[in-house]
Amino acid sequence: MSTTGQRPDPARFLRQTEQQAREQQLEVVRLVNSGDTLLGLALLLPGLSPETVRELLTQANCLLNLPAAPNATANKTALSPKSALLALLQAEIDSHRESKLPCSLLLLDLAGGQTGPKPGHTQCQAISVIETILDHRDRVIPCDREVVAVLMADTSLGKARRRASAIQAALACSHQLLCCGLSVCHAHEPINAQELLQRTRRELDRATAIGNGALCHAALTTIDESCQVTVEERAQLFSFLD
Amino acid sequence: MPQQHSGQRAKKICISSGKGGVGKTSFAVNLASSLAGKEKKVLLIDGDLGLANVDVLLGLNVRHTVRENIEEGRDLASLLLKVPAGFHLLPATSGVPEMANLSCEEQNELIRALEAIMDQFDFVLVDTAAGIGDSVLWFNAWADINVIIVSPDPTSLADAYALIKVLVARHKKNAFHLVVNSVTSPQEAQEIFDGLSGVAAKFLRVTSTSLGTLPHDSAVIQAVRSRKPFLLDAPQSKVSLAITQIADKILAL
Repeated sequence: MSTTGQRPDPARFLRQTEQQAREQQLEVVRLVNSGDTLLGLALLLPGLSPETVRELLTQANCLLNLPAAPNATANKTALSPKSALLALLQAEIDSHRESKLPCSLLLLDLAGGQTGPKPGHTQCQAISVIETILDHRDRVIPCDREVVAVLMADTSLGKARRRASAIQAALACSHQLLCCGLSVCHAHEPINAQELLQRTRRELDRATAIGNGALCHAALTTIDESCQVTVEERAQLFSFLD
Repeated sequence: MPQQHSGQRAKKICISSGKGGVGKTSFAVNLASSLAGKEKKVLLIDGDLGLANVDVLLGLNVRHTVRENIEEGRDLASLLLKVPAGFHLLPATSGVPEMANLSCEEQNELIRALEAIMDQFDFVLVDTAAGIGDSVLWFNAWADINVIIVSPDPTSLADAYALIKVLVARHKKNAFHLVVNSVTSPQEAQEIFDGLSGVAAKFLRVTSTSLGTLPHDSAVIQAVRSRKPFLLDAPQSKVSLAITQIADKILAL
């Protein structure tokens, strides 16, 4: 092995490390700057909780002078296919099962279903804009290349729709609103992260098909209302007492 | 632990009412006594985990409860109490709000621990808390047979219907067994059953079966004061005969 004192090529070193880590079945998070230059790698041991991963990545970003906000973490580190989003989603669903409050997932298609270069926001720009109007417990995470996911804590359908409208307005380009898919996950629903993402994706596809800044949401969200005993039921129930 | 039983897996029967004070615990204790008297291995779970009182109606002074399983991981079988009425009791705590609001993980752990001892019994009865709180819903979701107790009080009817509605909407339950308690006549019992089952069928499309009725009987009040099951305290009373008939119906289910 050559030890000539030459400075190693950092990019090559990182690529080799990444390859070796993947061979060892470690999850690899690539730490990149806004220009997509690879600055470092985070190698995640199996079994870490999503919260721990998020915290570690935030610290890693700080060390590399990358934007350290937890909301931005997943974006700047280009996590492998949707794993960051799914991990965060699952953690959020679990947390909401504990709190018994609903949470909502919003998907925005920055490309409006089209391919090729378009005017408007890049994913990074969109995330920065969205972060300014979110609640501190909400998270904005990249999903696919042109899709951004917004995970909203403690939001029922009405609240989530209002926040989605605010996001649409903030991201409007030449008065053109982005289409959104929204899904509310109730604490009692037996649903996992993958299913919630798929459900929301279907709503986004529906909205994109409609176009014109449509906001579609999953119909399952009416469960809560359906449990309330109606006036008609009560009246019928007591009719024999009269 | 009980001796070997018939070999089949226990039937899980959840007893709820929505409204409090309708007679759930008294019914559960006496039904357990009656089934035990018919040579069945019975476990009664005090499902009012944070405000338990099955032990009160049985005149017991309980030192160890299900809390020790949930918080310390103590073996559930070691917490079962064989009561003089012939069945086993899983006692719960009184005055512990945390127990009334178990996390999903704790609920799942408890269900797993209960499932592990199911094969020791013919019947597992759960006397749930009042209301439509979390534990009421997940015990009902877990059960094979859902028994709803209702009294002639209109508020009892309203709450029983609301509970049924939640169980239908949230847990896809579609069959309920109704017990009308504290009635003054068979006609009154029939009217209440017809009213509740009719509305449930019309609006919720669920089937309700009458498991029987319990007459208003001073033997119940006397037994509660004596802290004994009325089946043992006044075995020839009208209410004791009625509970025996209900036990026979359950055996036939």
